[in-house]
Amino acid sequence: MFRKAKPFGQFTEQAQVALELARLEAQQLQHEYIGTEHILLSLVREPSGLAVSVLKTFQVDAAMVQTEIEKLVQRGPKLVALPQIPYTPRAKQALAYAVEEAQFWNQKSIGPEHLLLGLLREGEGVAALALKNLGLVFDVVVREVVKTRLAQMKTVERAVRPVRTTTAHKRKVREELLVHLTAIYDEELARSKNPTTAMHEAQLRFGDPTELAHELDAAVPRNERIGFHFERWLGWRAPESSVHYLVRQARSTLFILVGIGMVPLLLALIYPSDPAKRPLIRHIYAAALIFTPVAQFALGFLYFKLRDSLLGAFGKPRSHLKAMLYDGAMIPAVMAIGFGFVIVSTGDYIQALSLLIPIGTGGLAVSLGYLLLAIFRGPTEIRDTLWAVLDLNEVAAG
Amino acid sequence: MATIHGDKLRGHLEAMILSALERGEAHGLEILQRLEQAGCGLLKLKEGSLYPALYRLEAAKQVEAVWEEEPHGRRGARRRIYRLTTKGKKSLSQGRAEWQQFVQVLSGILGAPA
Repeated sequence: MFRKAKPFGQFTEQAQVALELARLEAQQLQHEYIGTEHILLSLVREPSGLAVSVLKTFQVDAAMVQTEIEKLVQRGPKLVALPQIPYTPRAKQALAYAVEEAQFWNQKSIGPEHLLLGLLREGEGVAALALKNLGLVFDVVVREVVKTRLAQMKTVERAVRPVRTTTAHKRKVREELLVHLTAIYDEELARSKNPTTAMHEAQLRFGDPTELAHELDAAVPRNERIGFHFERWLGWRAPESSVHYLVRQARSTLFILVGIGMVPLLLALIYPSDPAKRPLIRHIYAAALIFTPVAQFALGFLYFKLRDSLLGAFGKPRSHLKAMLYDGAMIPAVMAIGFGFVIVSTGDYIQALSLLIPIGTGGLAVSLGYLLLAIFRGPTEIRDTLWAVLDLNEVAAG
Repeated sequence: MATIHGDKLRGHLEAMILSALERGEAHGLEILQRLEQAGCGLLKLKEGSLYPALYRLEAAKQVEAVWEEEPHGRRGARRRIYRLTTKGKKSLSQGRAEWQQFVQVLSGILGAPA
């Protein structure tokens, strides 16, 4: 999801032709750049292209697209004689999104249908505006483009979701089952040449997902089962919102802290001592009680925002600027919490101020840590989330 | 001859997998293909059921698995390659001995009258 594309190597022949034709579209309109609109025009001019068949399912045809684009852009003043017409930044971004979408859905190569998704997801280019004016929404179009993949994923997820095991274990099982199902689907497709038949046959060969779920559940190793119970208590439960999850998590932490606080209280009942003797520990405990759940919530919230804008997750446009703002906001957040902690536990403002440098460094470290987490763990988290929220009640499309 | 379906294979599937892996490491689909060849196409297994059996064998350390290296030409989805362990080999020969005994006893009862 996060890799840079090698130029055109992974594109299908159809997609490469479309990109070549986009250049001609630009020349014909006497534009000195290749923008998203030129890519879209060349996509819809290939009547047997996959982009056209996707648009057709939404009752959109080439002529309608062309009319919309003509409303938005004008022909250039004079013929352009540049040896190399450059792509606009938006067009480049759209191409990058096309690559990402194909990779995200484990598609073998990048076709015209992925270019269409890239244009839509880019969101602000002329192509995206024209498509939006025609009533096309990324979330809906992406489901049409990857419907075979989604049908395969749903079959797998029916078998995996009920299994009482950890997310990491589920991830492994999903990947392995999906590869298998894809392989037998491809075999059946080569035999029947019909996607619906192939999906049906592949599902017959694969077996009933509900039964498979029971078998998988019975085969879960003990440590994964224990991990599952912990995760269910502390981890994210699909499909709750991130805020709901963070509140629940902060509440659990509070309970745990209160539980820990009970221990010395009980001990004090058994071995009475002078309560005035250890005021610092009491104050630190009080500060932890207040600030740990707050820190957990605040940093968790900023992390989710950071991750989703950094990766452009869930079909949203990517924004590095927003990601940096969320990441940067962690520094003052950590500092405020750090100062609060010191002040409550020591009651000493001066001492809190003297800790400015270590607390500030802590803030920097936290923001860097979460950034790395978003870069390296983010894509996996988003993939797990996507699986966990797949709507299994929907009628599976072939 | 009628085909043999999954239910009758219950209890034997794991030994069958071990025996398929005796011919060398393989991923899930390959294991099925080997079993199918050996069973002359009369073996009808729900393919998904292979994996719980593999996971049980893996948990019992009779097979070990590694993710395939960067797949040639395909992106993202990797296959897992399974291999027999020493423990698995032992379990296989034990399973074979048990099976021989089972066949001997049952053919003494069910087999054609001598």
